Amino acid sequence: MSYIIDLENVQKNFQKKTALKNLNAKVAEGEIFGFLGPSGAGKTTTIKLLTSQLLPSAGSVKVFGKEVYSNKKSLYQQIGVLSDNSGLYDRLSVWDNLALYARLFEIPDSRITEILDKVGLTESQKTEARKLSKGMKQRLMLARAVLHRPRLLFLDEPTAALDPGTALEIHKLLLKLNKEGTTIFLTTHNMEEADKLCHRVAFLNDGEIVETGNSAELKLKYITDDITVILKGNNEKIHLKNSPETGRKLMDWMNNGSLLSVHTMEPSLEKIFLMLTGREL
Amino acid sequence: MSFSIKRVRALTIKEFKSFTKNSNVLLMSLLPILFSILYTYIYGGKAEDVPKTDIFMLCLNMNLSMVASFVIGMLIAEEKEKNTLRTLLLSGVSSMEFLTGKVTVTLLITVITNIIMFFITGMETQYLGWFLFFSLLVIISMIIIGAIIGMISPSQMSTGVIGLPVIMLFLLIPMLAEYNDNLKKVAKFTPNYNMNLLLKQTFKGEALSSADLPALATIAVWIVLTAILFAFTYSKIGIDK
Repeated sequence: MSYIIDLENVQKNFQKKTALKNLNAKVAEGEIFGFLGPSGAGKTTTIKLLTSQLLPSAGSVKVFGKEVYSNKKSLYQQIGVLSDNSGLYDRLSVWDNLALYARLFEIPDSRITEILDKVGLTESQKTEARKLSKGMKQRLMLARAVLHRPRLLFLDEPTAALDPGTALEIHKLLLKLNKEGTTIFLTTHNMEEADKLCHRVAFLNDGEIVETGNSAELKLKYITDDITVILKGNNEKIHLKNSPETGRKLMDWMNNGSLLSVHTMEPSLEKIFLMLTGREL
Repeated sequence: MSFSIKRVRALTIKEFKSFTKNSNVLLMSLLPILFSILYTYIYGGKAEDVPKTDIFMLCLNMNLSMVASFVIGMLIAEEKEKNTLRTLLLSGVSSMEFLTGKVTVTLLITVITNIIMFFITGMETQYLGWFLFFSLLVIISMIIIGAIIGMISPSQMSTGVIGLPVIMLFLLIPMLAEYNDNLKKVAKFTPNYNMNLLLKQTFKGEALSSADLPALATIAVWIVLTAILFAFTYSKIGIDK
């Protein structure tokens, strides 16, 4: 399998603080990879290393098979970045904001029209960026990040501070982009978002990856023996531990016809993170 | 370091579009023109009180210190403050391309303002060439100083605080040098004062001589010094800190 991102034994120190300790991760082409962790875990530092905004203190940071710092020019032609500190030219219109980047990447104007349609900003193309709503600004920033059809898209908390409806729109756009072949490296502390979008996730805690895997596989791996039983009549949910006593109870309810359903307790990604680190997100 | 004329052109077009909608920068750029209109209107026809050369020189120095230095400083600082610079750099724009876009727009605004003021105050067209030459030499060092202020300043607001000594040094000292001998001694080391000497001589119709070499040398030294200071600041903090 070809890996588009390859982090090997990466360490990053800021004066006395170690932000990343021996980080190892690989992302395959076509994946949506979620980098999950609480604030301060090292998510943004990792994106900065991958986009050559920072140098690692130790280890190797490869994107497209090459060390990022020695390959900046080619790297920036092939990546798109949307971070919480991305900015727009407030006084310029939606169109002019994109036109600048179209000129920089030598892209025809027809691509601006296409991307505006994709993010649903065609009707606002003459509006100044400062007059857009937060969600529209985020969509414009996403449009700018993918204007040059990057192979790899870095998203740092793309839906933080957005209302659920707008977040949903962004999710749809990201899934569409991924379907068209864009690999996405996403950092978030929103586990629901990661669960919905990502093919694989990595849990980052205090600068270290504590678990990596497919969301469904992780849920199976960390599934508990507990079950929830719903009885006919009052629809009451009864939580039970896996034990001989529970088995006997289930048999009784089945025999007297009062059992409506039995559910296994699948942990959420948030719960798995809590199990692994003892920390809440 | 990569450098593409096409990218610089794209950045310059963006600068001009943004400039026309930036009220802070627009007002600052228009002030020297407004003052030149105002002074010419007030003192027009009373050349014996305030000669037009003095009115022009005052507005010119205002343009050089406020526009050439401050505008580029504000433009750079604003890009840092609003995180647009980071996004540009992540799109493969080099620091030099970014700065060239800013320098181009600042240079054009300053030169155009100078020419407008030249005609508003009624200076003789025959001296326009020399005027553009001498003022351009000073504009270069003023723009470099402005770029340094922009690199140091984290926000548009802070360019005012950091840039205030620049106004004091390059606007007030040459202006007040006529009234105070100590200030005159200091002013002799500033590029603006020396430009003023050269221009006054030119506007009187006097030819340049070897006696003017120290003034020209001082202006040239300032270009070299500010370039060295720029290179040092750039190597220490870069454009995006």
